[in-house]
Amino acid sequence: MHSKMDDAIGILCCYVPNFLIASACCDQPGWTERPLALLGADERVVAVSAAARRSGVQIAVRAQAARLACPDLHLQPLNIQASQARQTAYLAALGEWELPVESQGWGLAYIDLNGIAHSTAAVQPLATDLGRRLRRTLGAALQPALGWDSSKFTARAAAMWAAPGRMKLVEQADVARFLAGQPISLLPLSPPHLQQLQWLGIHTLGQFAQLPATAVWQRFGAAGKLAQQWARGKDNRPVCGAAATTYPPVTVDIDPPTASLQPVMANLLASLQPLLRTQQGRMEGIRRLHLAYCFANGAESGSVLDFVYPVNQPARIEAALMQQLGAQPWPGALTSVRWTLLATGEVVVAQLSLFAAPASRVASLGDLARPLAERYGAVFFQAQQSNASHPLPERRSRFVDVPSLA
Amino acid sequence: MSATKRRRLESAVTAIHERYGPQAVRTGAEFRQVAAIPHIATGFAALDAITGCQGLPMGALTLLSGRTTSGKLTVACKFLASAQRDQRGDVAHTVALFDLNRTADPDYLVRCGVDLDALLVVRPSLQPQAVDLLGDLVQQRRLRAVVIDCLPDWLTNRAVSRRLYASLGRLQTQLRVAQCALLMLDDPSPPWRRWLNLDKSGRVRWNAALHIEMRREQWLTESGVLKGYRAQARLLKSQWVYGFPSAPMEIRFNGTVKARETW
Repeated sequence: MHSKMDDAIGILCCYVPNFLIASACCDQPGWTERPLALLGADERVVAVSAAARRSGVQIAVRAQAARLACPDLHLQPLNIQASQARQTAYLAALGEWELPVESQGWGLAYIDLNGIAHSTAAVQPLATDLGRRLRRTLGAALQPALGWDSSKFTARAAAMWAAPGRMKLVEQADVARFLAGQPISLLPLSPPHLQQLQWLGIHTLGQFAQLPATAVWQRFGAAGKLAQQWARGKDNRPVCGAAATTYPPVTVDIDPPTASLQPVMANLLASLQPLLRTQQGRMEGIRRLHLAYCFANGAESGSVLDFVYPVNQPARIEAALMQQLGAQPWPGALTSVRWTLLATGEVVVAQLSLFAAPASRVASLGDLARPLAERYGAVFFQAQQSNASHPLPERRSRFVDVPSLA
Repeated sequence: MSATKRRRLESAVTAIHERYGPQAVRTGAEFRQVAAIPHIATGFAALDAITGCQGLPMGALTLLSGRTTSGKLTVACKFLASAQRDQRGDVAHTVALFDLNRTADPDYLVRCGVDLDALLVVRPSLQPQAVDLLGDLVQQRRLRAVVIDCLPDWLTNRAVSRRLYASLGRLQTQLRVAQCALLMLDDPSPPWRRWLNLDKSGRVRWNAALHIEMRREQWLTESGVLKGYRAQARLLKSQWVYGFPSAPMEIRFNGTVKARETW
């Protein structure tokens, strides 16, 4: 149950769908006609257009795998400077009201309307004005979808529900009804957790909200508990303004100093583990990480690790760190590494559709053989292991006529 | 190169990029990175490294020749296992094995990692229709890879070989359209026969994008028990590599073959 104070809070979520692709297509209008994917610095896909996604191209796959999925795919390197310039312009346009604005990655931001507008009637003209201003500043291709509610999660769900150039304002009384029909994949839970929920027959936020809280906590941990509160419309996270939160630097001593990558990686990952665990509990991830290296010969150097989307999975952090450290010149043995967290963000939702994973491309042997069996006869077989532990090889397996299997 | 010349060259390249797109002109280093050929890994890294396409090419014909126990069937089984799997390692594709001499061993296929549920075993009779069957199967566009074990069974029959030679061109088109990899296992022929184009698989070799020859070098034993053998794969033809590089391979028996009597 919300208190009177909660009801006074209003959060407007501005969301530009597929910001990176839309930004790239603004620079090169010819790209809109073809399936497009953008490659990051690690040669993996970081953004996929709708046409490419329909062909099976997914984020984080390698360029070659993307080409295999979609031979007509137009693969281009991500122009990070141009995208950042557009993101800055986008945030500047949002900041013109001089209200607290919290950026949450590419094309997603929250505006705190606390004390400005408390009802849909008051928010509507403001949202209309903001939408027009953004369209004027960034162009029609980058026009946002707007969502409003008293909590961040519902505001974001509303913005993602609305089409670009439209708004969805959710009154307090309608929150439960609105969220009940939304797909479970709006929650930034890990893909295995989402898959488990799908297997359990839970496809909407309404179904998830009705589960016993203790069972959710036992199965999915702190992140699941938080997700269920969000699914029930209870999200008391405030909008944090532009003033960046500062994090203390952490120094990792490498003893003895080494020029080998493995011990450095082990120490670094061990020191990052507590932070990652905390972030997983809050459904946040690392967006920017500064690394400073001290070498035995007195040399020092530094690098910044930028993630296109916030990351809290140890395996992905490890891969990025490995690449960064591998590319870094090492003038001597490394004595210490100092890392500083520069920016964090909400974890991007894993899947934005109600549809499950693409169907397997394993063709049934019967489907393959049946059309040809009439012409060529019984020449199609499936090998089967009848008794894998039998000492005689010929008794371990057998061949079964495929059309007869059907 | 002087600074002026370099600047002029850069401006000329920029002008070409603007007019004809970034693919029009590239440096040699970039070209080597971009030229990725759709392929399926064999599971033997050393062999993949010499083929020029990081594995066996999709949409093309590959010939793998070698004597018995040279490792060619193991390579073929590993290739089938690799072709069945997607980039996450899940079984996602169907493959076919033309078992012409009817010696396929499901137990060994499983030990090589092949999922039998996604493997179609075809055992046609020695008639020209068998070649048509291959074309029809590929044309369905549902198979990712086909292995033919082994080619001499077809080539020894004059009617079948004649049909195979006649349909090689069409088969290549079908493979390209279906993006299906075709691997034919063959017996080796002496170099002088190859040189004089007297071997029967000459026409197939002519149409193959890749030709690899396997040769066993040494048996591997541990404490008197046969554990496997060392083989050498030599590239005889590749559309992507010049020269004849070779790669050492080690094939270990995974409990299938034991050099001791148990019964």
